[in-house]
Order: sequence, then C-alpha cells, then structure tokens
Amino acid sequence: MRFPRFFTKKRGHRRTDSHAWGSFAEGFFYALLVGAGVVFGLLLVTGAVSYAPADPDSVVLQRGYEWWMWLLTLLIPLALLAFGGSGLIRVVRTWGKSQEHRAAAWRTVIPEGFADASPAVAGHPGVPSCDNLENSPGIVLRYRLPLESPENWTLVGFGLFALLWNAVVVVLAVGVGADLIGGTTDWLLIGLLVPFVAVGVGGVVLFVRAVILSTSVGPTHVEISDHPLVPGMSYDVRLGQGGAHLFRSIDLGLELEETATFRQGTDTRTQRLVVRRVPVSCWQRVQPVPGGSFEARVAVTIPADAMHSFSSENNAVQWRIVVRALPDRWPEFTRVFPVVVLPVKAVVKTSPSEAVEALE
Amino acid sequence: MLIEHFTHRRNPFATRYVASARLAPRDSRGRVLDLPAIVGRLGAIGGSGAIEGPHGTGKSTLLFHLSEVIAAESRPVVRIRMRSRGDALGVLLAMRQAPRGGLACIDSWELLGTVGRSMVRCMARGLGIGLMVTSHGPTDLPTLVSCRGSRALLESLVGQLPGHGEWFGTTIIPADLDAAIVEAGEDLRKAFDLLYDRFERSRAGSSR
Amino acid sequence: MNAADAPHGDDHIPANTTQPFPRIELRFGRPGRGYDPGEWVTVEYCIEGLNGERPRALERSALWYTEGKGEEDIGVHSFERFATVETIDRVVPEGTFAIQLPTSPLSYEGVIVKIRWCIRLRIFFESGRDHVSEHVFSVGRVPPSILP
Repeated sequence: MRFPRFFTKKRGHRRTDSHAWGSFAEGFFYALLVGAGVVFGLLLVTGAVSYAPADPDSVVLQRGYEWWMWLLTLLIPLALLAFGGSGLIRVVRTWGKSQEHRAAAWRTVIPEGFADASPAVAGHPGVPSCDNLENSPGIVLRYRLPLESPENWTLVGFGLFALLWNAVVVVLAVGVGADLIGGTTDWLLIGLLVPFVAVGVGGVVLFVRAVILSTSVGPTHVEISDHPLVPGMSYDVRLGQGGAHLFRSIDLGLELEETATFRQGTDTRTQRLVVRRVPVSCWQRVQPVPGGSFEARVAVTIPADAMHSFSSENNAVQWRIVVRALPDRWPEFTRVFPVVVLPVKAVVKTSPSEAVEALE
Repeated sequence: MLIEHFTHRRNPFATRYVASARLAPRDSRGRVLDLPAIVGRLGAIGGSGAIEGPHGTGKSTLLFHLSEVIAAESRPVVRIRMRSRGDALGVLLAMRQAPRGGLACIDSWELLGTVGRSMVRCMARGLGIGLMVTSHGPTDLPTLVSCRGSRALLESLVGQLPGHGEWFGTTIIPADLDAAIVEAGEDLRKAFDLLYDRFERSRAGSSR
Repeated sequence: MNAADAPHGDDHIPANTTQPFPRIELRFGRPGRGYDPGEWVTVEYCIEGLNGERPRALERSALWYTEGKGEEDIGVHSFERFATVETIDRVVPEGTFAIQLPTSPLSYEGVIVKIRWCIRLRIFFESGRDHVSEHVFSVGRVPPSILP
C-alpha cells in the first residue's frame, strides 16, 4: 500500500496519488462536518431546555426563545448536517469508481436542433438583441452600459455568510456568558465556541476586506453616445471610476471574445478566447476626486473590418468594452461592459435576373 | 462547365469533422470494426448489450454506426441520447414507440440510475425490444464491445479527417499526436481538442 | 479517396456505404465565391452518376453553420423541396437558382468559432438512401482572426 504524499505538484485535474486515500480523506472531512453539526445542534437544543424546578422528571423549554431564534440558531447545524451528509453519501457512492463513472452525473439538458435560440436584432439574423444594453440612460451620454462582473455577488456572499455565522456565534456566546454569570462552566460549549468565533472573525475580515476593496476602488461606469455600434464609426465613451485611493493605471479598450460550448461525453464545457484587443486609452497615476470619481471622455472607433456580434445556441462572438485598473496597494481588477456591433450595411448590387445573365 | 476550387481555412479537428457520424468506428489498433459481425454478436448474447469504455473512446460513434446497420436491415430502431437524470421519463416514453422486435439505442446508460435502468430493462422485456447502450464501465447488461483509446486508434482516425494529405506531416506532425495522447490519455475527444489548438497555432506560425 | 477532398464541394458519404454515389458539380455566378450581404447568389448545378436511379426528391438550401470547437449550429436562410414527378424533372439532373443573402451573419474565420455559408443539395432516392453535397461560399469581407 502506498502512503499518501502531502507535498507534491498537482498535475492539472488529475489526482496524483491514490484514489483510495483521497476518497478516505474526503469522507473523513465530510464526517467531521456531520459530527460538528450533530454536536452543535445538540448543544444548542440542550442549552435551551431545562428541568422544571418543581418537577424534576419533566423538562420545559426555556422562556424567551422565540420561533425565529430557533430558526436562526438551528440554521448552522442544519447546514452542517446537510452539507456533510450529502458529501458523505457521495463519497460512499463513488468509492472505488473510476473518474469517468463519476463524471456521469446530473447535467443540464442541451437541446439539439437549429440555432437562433436567443432573441436577435430585427433584420439581422444571428446578431444578439440589444434590449438589455439600452434600458439604462446615461447621465451625460445616451446610454449607460451594464456591467458584466461577478464582483457584486462575491460581496453579497461574504456578507451573508458573515452575518449568519456570527448571529449563531452571538447566541452561543450569550449562552456561555449566562452560564458563567450563573456560576456554571460548560467547557464543552466553550471549547466549541472557540473555533466558531475564529471562523466568524475570519468571515468578518473577509467581508470587510471585500467592502474596503469595493469602496476603495469604487464603482466603474461606462456611458456611450449610441448603440448598437457599427464598424468604421466612432462613438463617445465616458468612463467614470470611483474610489478613494490612487490608481497606478487605468486602461480602457475594446475586445472581441469567441465563446464555444461543446460536449465531452456527458460533460458540457465552454471555452472562451479573446481574439482581438483594440487599445483605446490609458491613464497613469490617477487620483479620483475626493467624494467623486475620475472621469474621462474618449472616442472609441470600431474597426472598419470588425466582425459583427454573433450569438447562436452553442457559439458566440462578442465585443466588450473592458476597463482594467491597477489600484495602488490593491490587486488589479477588470470590469467588462458588453456591446453589440452590427454588420456592415448591406448593399444590393444586382437583381436576380442580372445575376442569372452573368452565368450564361 | 467551369471548375472552381474554393479554399477556406478549415480546421480538420473541428467538431463537425470529428463528430460521431463522420468517422468510421475502429478498434484500439486502428482497424475498421466489422459492424455486421458485432450486430450478429448482439443477437447471440440475447439481443441486448452494452458498449463500454472510458470517456472519448468512440462509444457514441460505434452506437450510431451500429444503429445505422441495424436500421438498414429494416429493423425498427429508436435512438435516445441522455443528458441528465431528468431524461429518464423521456427514455421510457420513447421506448413505447418501438414496436416488438425493435431496438432501443441509449447513449449514457448510467444517467438512468439504478431504478431507471431496472424500469427500462423491465419495459424492454415486456415490449419485446432489445437494448444497446453505452456506459463508462461494466453494467447489468452483457458487454457487447469494449472501447479503448490508443495512439494507433488516434492516428487512424486522424487519417480519416478531411484534407489529411494536405496538412499531415506539415501543419500537424506525428509528434503532435504523441503529445496529444500523453496529455489526453485514452480520451480521444480531448486529444482532438488539443490537436485543434495545435492546428490553429501551427497555421498562425507559432513554433512548437 | 476521402470524400471530403472532392474539389467541387463536400459530399457527405456515410462511412460504411458501399453503393456508388452521384457527383454534383455546382458553379457560382461569381468565380471567387465572395459576396456581400444583401447580394444575389446564383448557382448552376449538374448532377452526374445517377446510373439510372430515379430520385424521389431534391432539396436545395442556403444556410450558415458554425465550425470550430463548439457544437455545430446552423441557420437555414433558404429552403426548397421538390418531391413530385413534375417538379423533379425540372430540377434534376441540372438546374439554376438564385437566393438573396441576408444582412447577417457574415462569414467569419475565427479561432474557436468560424461561421460558414454554403449551398446544400440533398437528393433522396427511391431506395431510401440520400446524398448531400455542400458548397461553401463567403459573405462579407471580415478578415480572419488569429491566435493572440
């Protein structure tokens, strides 16, 4: 039997060591979560009940616990049980099975058939609809482009986690405090409280860091003078970058990205590739106005030979305005604003009768 | 009549050229499979069987071509390709359309789950239809064919791709196939994916 | 010979077929096969090698399809089917037709996504088999994208 190596270079997606050891460790981790959920839940429940003084043979719920308190306090142990339990079941089911067998799991049904599943611009088959890009008027220019970025969801996620986790920590801490004041010391509860406080503090730190990053770098706004765009034409673009601190650089550019969705067996994968970058403008050592934002107005010219925007069921060609900023003492971030480029104007040169004559 | 020659930058490893319907199924040594013989074996093992093998080893391709051979013999064939567990009901409904003596070809047998597979087998017995399925490993059905990927198979499949004589040895060389097999293992679909990228880079003039 | 090497288009021949297949020669009105959106595309075709086998239907279509690493998508712009004796005699073994191109999509030579336009002729025979011939042409003047 080969013992696991704890320090080794991971090669891509494949495991570099024994599947059995890996599955065992995975199962042990989920079992720990289940155990934590059970212990935590029991402690919470036992802490909420007590013997009736007049009748030691019966137990009563402590007064002062509203229904929402129960819901809140049991949320974490239930989540631990659910997560740990499902993971444990998965490990048991896949024990000894090959990677391919495990990969045959739930997948989204991909309908087959003709393309054009997404709404298109009228008169331009295959060109994606602009509706969602033109429903927000700009302050100065005609349209304000929507942001395509997952940053906001990260902030919300951190915030929710920190709030829920620390709510439970507070309840636990109150319970421990009440016991101490009452002269009893529940060492088990105190021992459990320590790691929970650590995680709670960590959650708060992550959330605060995300908030600081978000407020320090501030929001990014892009407005444009017209939309959809046409190759060869120039458009006014107004960039607004908020933030309280210095930016070492801010880059504004146009990118063309190809997206292809394909199936590998029962897996569905999507690959994206930026095939063209058109630099527009770059600013160095930018200090936003305190309480305001850095603003700049530039002309963006769509290349005359640009491919138009295209979208079908499994493939897409999309243009985006991309803002890359490097704040001082913070990591670089990228914000993407999709745009739609129409095809060049169609020119009808011949009638069918003239074209048929050309054949003869 | 004027003969014109129109060229476009076709990548022979594009999905449309390596799709199941285009490539003749071969064994792990690259030899063309005797499809009628396999169909005969299906009858010999009871009318139902599984094509098993890892990801990207040609199971779907073989299933498609075998179903074509069977359909050409005027035997009713129902082809079902599963994408998720939610398709189980659709499988049962589709099987009901197959007349007695027909054959249901189901791609991705494992997605049905234990209960789904039992139901499908019971329905097949009740309706008097055979089953030919693909799976990633041994199943509750007898194994009809075992598919395995290999360097020899990859080379023979690459030989079937359009314009092979024009680009093999220049844009794509044997060492590229070796590198693709090393990285992809038995997954020839992944090997094609890697060779697609290699072809584009070579055409762009990138060095190896 | 690999059927896809045919100089007069791509003939889609099932891998395990042993029957002789017809050959379709198709001529575009423009030698370079390059068109702008909105223009008329005219084609003249000739079907050879029928060997006395009577077709029961012919379909003529103009469509775009994607090619690359993604699953293939297609969009049919123009479609005609001839399935009666009278109509088939007018279009087999040779014929001429014209279609007006739409404004989009344009032909595109990307890296992982390519968009191609083609004329597709499909012949159905009384025996039940069918034969497809595909002839690519280009729409628009978008230069190829290259790997960055």
